[in-house]
Amino acid sequence: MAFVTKSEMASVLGRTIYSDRASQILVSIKQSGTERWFIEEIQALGIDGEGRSWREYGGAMGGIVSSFDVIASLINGIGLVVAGIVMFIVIYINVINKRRQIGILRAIGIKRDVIIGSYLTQALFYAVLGIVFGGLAFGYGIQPYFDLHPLDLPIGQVSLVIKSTTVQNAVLGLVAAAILAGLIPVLNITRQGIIQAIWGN
Amino acid sequence: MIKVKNLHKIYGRGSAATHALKGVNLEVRPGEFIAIMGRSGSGKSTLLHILGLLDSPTRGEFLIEGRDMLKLTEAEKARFRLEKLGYVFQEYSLLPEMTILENVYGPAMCLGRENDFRRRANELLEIVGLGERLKHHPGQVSGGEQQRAAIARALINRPKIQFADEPTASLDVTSSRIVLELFRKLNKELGQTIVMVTHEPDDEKYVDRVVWLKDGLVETVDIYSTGAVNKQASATRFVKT
Repeated sequence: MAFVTKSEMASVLGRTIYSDRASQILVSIKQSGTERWFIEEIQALGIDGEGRSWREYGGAMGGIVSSFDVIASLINGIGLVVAGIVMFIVIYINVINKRRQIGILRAIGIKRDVIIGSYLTQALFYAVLGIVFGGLAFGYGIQPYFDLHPLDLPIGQVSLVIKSTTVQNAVLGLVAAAILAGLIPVLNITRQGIIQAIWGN
Repeated sequence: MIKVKNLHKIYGRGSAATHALKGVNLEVRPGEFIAIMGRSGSGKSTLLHILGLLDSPTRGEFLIEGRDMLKLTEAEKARFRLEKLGYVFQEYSLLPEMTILENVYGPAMCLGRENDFRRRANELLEIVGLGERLKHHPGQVSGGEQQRAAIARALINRPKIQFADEPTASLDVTSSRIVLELFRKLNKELGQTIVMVTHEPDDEKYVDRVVWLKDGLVETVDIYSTGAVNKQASATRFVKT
């Protein structure tokens, strides 16, 4: 951020600055999502005026962007549910197929916590794979593509922005989904009697 | 070592209730190799499962080394099974993803008592004749070899008692003989107490005592003289009154 005096600006532009004509200063920032921080920094300089983000200032544009945010949240939520269900199914089938083995492990004295822990680790492994591959796909594939080929909409060119808070929420959501997806099937099986788990009766 | 008194096991409730054990009395002494025999439905597997802490009786008394097993919590039972009991199941019960060696030292790793469990697993696999199969996976060895690996696994934590549930039921004659001779060797040389359920009459010759069950009760106990090749001829049959 730089502050330029009126006289300096006049020398750069090569003409007289009409005094007291400007009522607004527009500040362009590179990274969307950091507006509030910039507003606070500008106001901390002691400038007498109101600071508003483009979203607050934009009126209808702000509404459209909010709609995009809602759509993005919906897609995130649906993606998370789908990922959770897929992990649940994979682990559930795995647990059902290994019911007898789990029963034998319990019979020989392997603690329930060890068995539960091994399936939780498996679920978390899937979640970590999802986070790594998802991060690589967005960071090196989808986002660069949209930066080069933004969508042409009537309101202007629209590209993808991935906020750090969105990534954090997605990661936390996926880990939580993995824990539930791993825990439910294995708790279900380990609650069965050992005899039932091994021989199914 | 094991003492059960008036042991009952009832499955289900009301009119659907099945009385699997109807008051079994039994004592197993340290270093004994006993077989529990009887027809299908006689209660022999139920008795073995209760003795091995895999199932609980409906009522009765059950002591191992003087300790009341009916007072243990599930977690205490699991710890007791890991530390003091060994199991060999009817079907090969090894984890297919692990090698034979890993299968054998797995329970020792979980117990966390010894650091050199790999060496002990190696020794046990040598004893059961699988020294050349350490790195093989269960699917790469025969049924008899898998069962011998299961015996080695059952011995890894130096159990006080080893339970075997029809260990030769899935094996051919030669493999069955090898497995039973191995049990006998472990019993004689290591003093391992073994309780085995079987329905093969030929298995009698390997054991010290046969407990015959019928309709949930001990019908007779056959005691064999030790060391005799033809033990059946010298068997003394006591009819339980």
